Amino acid sequence: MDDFGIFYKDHHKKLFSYLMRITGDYHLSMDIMQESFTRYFEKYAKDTRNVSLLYAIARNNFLDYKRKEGREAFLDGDFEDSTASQSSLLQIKQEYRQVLSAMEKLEDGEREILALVLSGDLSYKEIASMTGTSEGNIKVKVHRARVKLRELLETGDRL
Amino acid sequence: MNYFISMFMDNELKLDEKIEFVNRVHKEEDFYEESLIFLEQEKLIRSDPVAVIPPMRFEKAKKWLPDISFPFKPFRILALSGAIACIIMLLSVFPLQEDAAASISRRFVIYEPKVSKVEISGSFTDWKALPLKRIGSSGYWQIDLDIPQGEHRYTYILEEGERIADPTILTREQDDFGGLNSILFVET
Repeated sequence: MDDFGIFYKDHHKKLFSYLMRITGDYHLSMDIMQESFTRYFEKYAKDTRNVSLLYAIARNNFLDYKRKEGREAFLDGDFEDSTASQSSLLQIKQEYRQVLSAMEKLEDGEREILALVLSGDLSYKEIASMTGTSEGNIKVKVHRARVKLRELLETGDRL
Repeated sequence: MNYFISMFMDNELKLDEKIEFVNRVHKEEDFYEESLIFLEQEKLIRSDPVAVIPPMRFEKAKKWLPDISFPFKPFRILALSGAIACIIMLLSVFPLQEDAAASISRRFVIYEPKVSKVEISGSFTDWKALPLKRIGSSGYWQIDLDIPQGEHRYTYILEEGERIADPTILTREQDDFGGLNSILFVET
């Protein structure tokens, strides 16, 4: 019987949250999620439980998008003020806006690794493999990202 | 830089490292406080960014879309124009040879091992709830129905009246009650 329905059910929310954390854009995340499941399914239907492959596809889709658009992930670089993402902004939970705002201010590499870790779907080992680096590198980077995020979130409160 | 705390939160500690972690929390006040601060932050940053995750959607009224049904084995891809190829590629296609028949027989299968009842209700049942049959102890339920040609909407109903869209069908829409219906296109 099909595992795809179960696979989709088990992972689509986490994948979508991952995409929201790296793009800050609801509609873009939706497009990439759709494209990723489509491509995963079309190429790897027999291998129904390879979660890291799903994320690799989504990540690559996003990198392709960035390359094509030739600009930073969060549109004009300032998440809260970008008019192009107004309708997208409305979908985001109030308490999460500060998180996305802070995540946007991280370096690309740190944000990307943190977003993969936060999905809860991948191990450090899988993330290292996907990003072409070592586990040691991942554990240092993800913690550094969290430390920076803490500083940004604390500063945000004071403004 | 204490990445031990991250490793703890990410379930990456080996047993010996867990022992070390617990000891540090117990003995070092700073480490204890840092751990709690990061754990609280983690609750926030791991929470859902949005209230509603969008279901996957495709354009409706593509009458030339063949019947889309699972399972995916074997997976055959129709050669169609590039624009819809990515939609078709999502789904296993079993072209149904019914000559001039106006409806086809379709099997609906859902995996719900924990419930005692599953029903299906849709435009092809006049929205009456029909019960599915359990398939042994596999956790799967099934029903075979005759579906007339065209576009249909339906939902599964679990015990307690919980309505869920078909997890194996990607086309969905909101219904009038704030729930989701699955959309099925049938071509004969």
